[in-house]
Amino acid sequence: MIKRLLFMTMIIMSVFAVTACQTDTTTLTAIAGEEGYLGKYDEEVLVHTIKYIDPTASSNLARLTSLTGETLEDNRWIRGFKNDMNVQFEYLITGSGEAFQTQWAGLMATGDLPDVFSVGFADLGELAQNGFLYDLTEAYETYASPLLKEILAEAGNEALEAATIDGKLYGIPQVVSKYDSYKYLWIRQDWMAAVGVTSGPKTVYELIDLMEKFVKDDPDQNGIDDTYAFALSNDLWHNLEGFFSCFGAYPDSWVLDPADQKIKLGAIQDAMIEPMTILQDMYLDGWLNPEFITLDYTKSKADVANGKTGIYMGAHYNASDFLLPSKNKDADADWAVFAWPGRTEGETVVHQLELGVNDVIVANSAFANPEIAIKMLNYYYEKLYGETGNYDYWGNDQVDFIWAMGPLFSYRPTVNLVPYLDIQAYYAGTKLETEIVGVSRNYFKNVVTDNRYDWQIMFGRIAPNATVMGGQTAGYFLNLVVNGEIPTFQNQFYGSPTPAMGIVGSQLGIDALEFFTKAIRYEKNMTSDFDAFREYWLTNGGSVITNEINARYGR
Amino acid sequence: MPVVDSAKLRRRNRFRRTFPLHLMSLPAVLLCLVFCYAPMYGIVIAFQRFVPAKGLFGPQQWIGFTNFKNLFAYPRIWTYLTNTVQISFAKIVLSILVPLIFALLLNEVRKKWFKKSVQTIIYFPYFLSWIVFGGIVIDILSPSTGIVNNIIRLFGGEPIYFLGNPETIKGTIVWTDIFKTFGFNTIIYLAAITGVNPTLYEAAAIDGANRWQQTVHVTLPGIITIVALMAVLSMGNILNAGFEQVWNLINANVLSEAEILDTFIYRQGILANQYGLGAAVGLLKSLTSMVFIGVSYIIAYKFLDYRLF
Repeated sequence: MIKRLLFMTMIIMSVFAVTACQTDTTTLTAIAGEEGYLGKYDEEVLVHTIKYIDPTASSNLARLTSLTGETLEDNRWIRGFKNDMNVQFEYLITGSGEAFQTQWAGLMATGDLPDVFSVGFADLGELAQNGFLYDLTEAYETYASPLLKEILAEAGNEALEAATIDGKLYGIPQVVSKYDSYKYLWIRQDWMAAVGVTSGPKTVYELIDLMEKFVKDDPDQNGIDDTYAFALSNDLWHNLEGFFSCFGAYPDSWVLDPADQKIKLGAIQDAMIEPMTILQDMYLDGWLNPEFITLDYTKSKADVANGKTGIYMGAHYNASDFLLPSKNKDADADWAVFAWPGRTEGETVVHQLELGVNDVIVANSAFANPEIAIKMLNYYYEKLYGETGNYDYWGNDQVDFIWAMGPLFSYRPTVNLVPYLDIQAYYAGTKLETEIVGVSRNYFKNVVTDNRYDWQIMFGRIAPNATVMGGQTAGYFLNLVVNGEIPTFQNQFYGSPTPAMGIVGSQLGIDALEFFTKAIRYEKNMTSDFDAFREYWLTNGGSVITNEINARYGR
Repeated sequence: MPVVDSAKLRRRNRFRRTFPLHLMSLPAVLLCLVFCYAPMYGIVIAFQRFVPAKGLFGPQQWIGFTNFKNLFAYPRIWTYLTNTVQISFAKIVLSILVPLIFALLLNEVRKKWFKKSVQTIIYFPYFLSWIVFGGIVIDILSPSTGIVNNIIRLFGGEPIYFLGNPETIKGTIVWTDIFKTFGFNTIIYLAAITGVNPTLYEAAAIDGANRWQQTVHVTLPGIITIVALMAVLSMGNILNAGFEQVWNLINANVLSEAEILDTFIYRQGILANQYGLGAAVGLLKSLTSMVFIGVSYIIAYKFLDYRLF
């Protein structure tokens, strides 16, 4: 009896499933074409979604509320979607940080997913493989506006590929700038002058010599031997990625080996040995803060701010959280970016970039209007960057982060480059202040109008006395990276984790971090211990993961 | 006069008398049912390939003992298990011994203000969360600026990187935990000591016992059941080496030496989305705790005549 009932239910359910699919296809073809990109629905469509609130955005939201009365649930974005497209968004959960993750896990466990929502790659794989997500391949072709396609093209083919599982596109990438993962070599030019160096390092060994001078020649001239070669935290690769690239080593990337065209983990390659050995020597000679293992990313700020180090290797935005405090404490501090040198003079250094996508927008397979996942991005980009758009209203109007206050947010990969070029054009006299519009306006205000130091060294000009040393702004190098004059490659693994990765991936990652931390402290050597680590990594799931990744990308 | 079943009447009377008392325990029973028994349903996750989106009661795939097999396939699991047992065993033993000794010493102090203020001061760290206390510990144990190493330097010693050295990390974890909690346990033992009948001390004094003999022959036997109770209760924690503490003190350099079952499962179960694995460890931990509590209860029952039920 029960069996028969179950069988009946299954039949009924499959009939529903079939009809559901059919209605979907008809809606898709019904409003295709130009109209489809931003087309208004005749009847209001209610879309349940979730909203992650960026902590920085939330303070701006509070200011916006006091200025215009707009709230998280009712603001210009929500109203825009309602008025222009007849789509009403309703949040099932809102929040930030771990609290949001907990709420999201709880919501998922009820088995009642939102209609259109944003997920990370781990969830994407699992949800798609279990049939919870709508296959957006066809909808993307039909509905994606030329602007959306252009922006996703800026992010590279990998962006869409990462959201594709078994040939089906399950989500639309919310792009961040992949160029933000490029690491810059920040050096204090006043310290270079203090130790008698007049130009940036031409080889990586010159860079190491400079580090030695910064350690031993008392660059801060306080008479105490209290300086380190560079700032290092227990978030090793954030600081060391760029340095390792100079040796062709990529510790946290999957690289394509040109010899056999296979993808391999950078951390277990022979290229690691030379830079690691150099770091060991530095550690033993006291060039590094011996307490780096208990200094997290935030705590390591103190070494930069207190003038303990004149070299900082990290992201462009560290100008605000690391370098600005040092300028505030010591007005002479004169930070500038220098080119990463190779092992020999003139050798090209190739850098790794991460996938510029953290999350994707997906549609519930049971939702009747899955194309909204695409149309909402069309609308979003149109309002910010499109011909009918107005960045000053939708992105940054009296308060910043308005662009993050709607039901979704996404960047443009060139979000930092365009303002940099605009500001340089203004300096060169080829652009007037009034011609600087859109996203550049806020950058212009911070750099030129307010003359903020951190913004200056990122996107403005390095102080004129620096012309001797040859230091540049971060934007200068960003331009070279985007143009391809500084060669980069994409981390060869992106997207949802492979099966073995889901099980042992995080453990192997942490084992690798432990090994290299211990190796820098010389508790492990880079000969027999490194071989043992490689063996350990490969036999405990690493080779399975490697095979899975190669299989996924058809290598 | 009709014959009344007196036994029945007594029972009914007793029930009528104790019924309100039973009623008063109802909220506690309900709480226990809702928060301790109902969540036991979650044990099923340990035997599933759990996909959260399918729902807790949804059509999850049953995979038998695969999660357990996966767990023991982790290359470092035995190291982590050993760490867990070593750290928690040391904590259990010391968290009985240290407060006990301290309580006995404090009991001998006759200056009441001194006793009270010491009690309050050592009690204080117990109230700090590990997030806060962990930060303090990292600072005071820092080899360059920490007060502990400044003292070591003052006496001509080499500074020790307590939290960074694989050799010192376990001891540091154990002793900082004892430091944080011994004030609380001291108060329990002090309360127990107050409960010892004063006439026993008088009798011992008349028999010519000195302070030390009084402590050994009167105080200790007087509080031994409380000590036994504390021991029995803490035996259940043999696999709980203190997640909050270790998570805040651990770093990449001491991972093999300090990673415990709970931090491992937080990384794998929660951060890496392997709920089935997490539930499997939870189940194993509960079973182990049950065995340990059972055994230690029997021991306490046999040798100290201590009864919980």
